[in-house]
Amino acid sequence: MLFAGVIGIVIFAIVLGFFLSEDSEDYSEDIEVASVTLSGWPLPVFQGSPDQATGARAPAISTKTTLDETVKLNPADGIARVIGFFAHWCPHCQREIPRITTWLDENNLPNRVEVIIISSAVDSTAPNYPPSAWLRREGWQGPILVDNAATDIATGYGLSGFPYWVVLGGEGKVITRTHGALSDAEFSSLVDQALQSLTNNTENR
Amino acid sequence: MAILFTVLLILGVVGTVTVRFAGPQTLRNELQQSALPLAWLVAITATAGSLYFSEVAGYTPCEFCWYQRIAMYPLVLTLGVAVRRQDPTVIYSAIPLAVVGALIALYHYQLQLFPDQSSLCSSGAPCTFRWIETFEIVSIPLMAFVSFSLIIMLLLINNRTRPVPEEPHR
Repeated sequence: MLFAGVIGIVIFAIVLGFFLSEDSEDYSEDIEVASVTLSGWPLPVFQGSPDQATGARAPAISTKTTLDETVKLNPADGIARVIGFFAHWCPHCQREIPRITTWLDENNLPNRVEVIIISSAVDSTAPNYPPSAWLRREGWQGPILVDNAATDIATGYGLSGFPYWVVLGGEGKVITRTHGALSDAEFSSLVDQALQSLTNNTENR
Repeated sequence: MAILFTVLLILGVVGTVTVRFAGPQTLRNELQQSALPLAWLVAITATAGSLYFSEVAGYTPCEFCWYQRIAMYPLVLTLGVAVRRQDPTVIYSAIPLAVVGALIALYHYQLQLFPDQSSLCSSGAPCTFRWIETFEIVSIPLMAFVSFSLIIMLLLINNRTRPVPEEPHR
């Protein structure tokens, strides 16, 4: 009798649950993934120091921003770049973004050094979706580049875990790569290394 | 759906503890007799819930989710066979499986509570984030932990306590 009663309650609750399940919500018109083209050789997967990719030329990227603007990123255009890869569902990324935006608010980036973020591994069923809304909410001012559903940009840049940073010199070569949450000092060091690469190039000429 | 699974679990735990320790004797006897089928029902519901979350809701199971599945899914079969054969000795295989599952679920839950133990999210399915946060504290591994605990509790009730015969009517 007790068992039959419990079974009845469970079946009733599950049937009710299916009927009450909410439909997925519609979000804004921002795009969260885009068609992506990479030109050049992909970087090997980052496996810590010593990094095999140091000095290798990074592939050029053609993608879009979350505002549906086409972006062609030629890493060898004379601008040093600090490129961050983030996943909206990753708690470490969620904590990293406010630190980076605060750092950028409090510090001036050197000339010819850019900080770019790429939203990757987007999953509409995962927490903190959509990434465009999250990044804006956290005060990210710059453009947000988007990866495709297969995470081709992240794979082409050798991502092994989020958050992931790649520093490219002005000639498009890898200066350093790192993954995991960064302190302010570590992020400053990435920017310094990007700037230093430009200085070294100038001296070599 | 997550809320319903959570409410079912809460009802299951509260109901079991209340009947076992404060319920009338007839209900306690009935619980002892039904404990094995009820443990089986918990395993079936937990398995159905886990499959719902991964196959219908689309939540990708992480590494520790898979370990918990390895502990929970066989319970559906072993407890089912034990119910059919009325075999109380199933506890010697089912309880160790449920204890291992409960410990893994507990470890997984604390990883979600304190994700700073690592500074990195794997690019696949990290175990640190919560697909669901019912009532802000209940996530999938906590549901698994409570399910394993309920199964252990019911198996112990089934085995250790013999039904007290009711007094004959005069």
